Amino acid sequence: MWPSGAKILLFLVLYLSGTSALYFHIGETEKKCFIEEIPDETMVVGKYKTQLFDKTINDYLPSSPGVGMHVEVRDPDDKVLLSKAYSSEGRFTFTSHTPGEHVICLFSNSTKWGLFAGGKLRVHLDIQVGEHAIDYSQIAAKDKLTELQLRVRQLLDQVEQIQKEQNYQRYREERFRQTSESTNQRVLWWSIAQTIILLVTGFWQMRHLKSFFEAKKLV
Amino acid sequence: MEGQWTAGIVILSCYVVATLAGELTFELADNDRQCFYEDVDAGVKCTLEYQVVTGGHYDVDCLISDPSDKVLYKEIKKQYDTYTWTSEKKGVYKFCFSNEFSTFTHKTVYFDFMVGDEPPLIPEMGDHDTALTQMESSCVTSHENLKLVIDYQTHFRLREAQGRAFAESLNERVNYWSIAQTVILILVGIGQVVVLRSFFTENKKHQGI
Repeated sequence: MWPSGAKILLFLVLYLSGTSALYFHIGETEKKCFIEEIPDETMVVGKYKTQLFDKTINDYLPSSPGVGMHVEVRDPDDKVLLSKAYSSEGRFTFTSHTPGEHVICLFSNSTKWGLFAGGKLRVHLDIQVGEHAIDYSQIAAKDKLTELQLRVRQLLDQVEQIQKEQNYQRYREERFRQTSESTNQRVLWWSIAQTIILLVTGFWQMRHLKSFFEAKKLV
Repeated sequence: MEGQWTAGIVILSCYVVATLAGELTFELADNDRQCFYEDVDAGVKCTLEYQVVTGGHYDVDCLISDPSDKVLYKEIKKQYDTYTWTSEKKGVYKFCFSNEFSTFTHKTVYFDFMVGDEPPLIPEMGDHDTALTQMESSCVTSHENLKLVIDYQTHFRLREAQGRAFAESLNERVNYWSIAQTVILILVGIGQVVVLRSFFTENKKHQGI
């Protein structure tokens, strides 16, 4: 049905679409972690793709289905939000429930590729947070929005994200202020305590030695 | 048949537009070097912006090189910087962050790598035959301004995180050092008395001192 030229075009499209993100290399047992500081109720979408190094062609294979990645996401209280093993190419999503630093860790979960790879795996990663994670073509199709309505929807989402971030800023500034005030108090009380202990120790020393020398009949 | 070809070309053109913005925050261990790579077409404007969030003197080495390994940007011990360039060749551009000069401090580094222009919301919006209406252009203006606001918020967030991390470490250090000093104070006080006593209480051979 399709002319062969169109098939080649489609193949090119599918091939090009997979290799677009930032990438880095990871060792076999290495765990790479990324930190995302986000307000609460924010959606985070991560897309990754792994490529195995093939010594025979001295380059990275376009796709390696056998190599899987284990994705672990921890929230600011070190509680695990997401801990799943995915195949070599995948997409993971999570929504934060508490504001703060979330840690996204990736590590390979298979041991067999060490035999072929010479220890290197190429991982393409793209993490989108908040309004960047929203897929507008889906929303346009689902709610049947015109172009203008879609643009306004995007503006609304952006403003909502800004508002959430501002709220989070206020909460963080409060914590910062509490920490500074606690440091201030601690410095004050510890100085007073140490001065008192110094005086008491000195006083005790003199009294003890005086009674000691008197006992020794040297005074 | 022609329709299918047109459809195919439209689909392909959506992917060929180079549009990426990757921002990541990661931890760089001491004596460590982390490199990131990106496939970029020729003639595309790229921007790399980075900032050290926590750790030591808040500095890191950064190196950007083009596909032929020519160094485009190299800075030692920078706290934050931004560098824009237009890619001359098509290929893999590499940028590396190094903490090799540090012996024991871990650094948290934030970077934002922007390639090309922002993609249109949905692929159909990309090819406009007519000019935008006033509503649409004011939407575009608002969108650009909001993007600026979000950008400033990110910078502010990083600065605040930096300040807060320092304040929290200061708080901890004050506590530990105060406890340590008090313990040393008491020990030295008691120790002085004990040592002095030992000068005087000994073998009857030595009378007094």
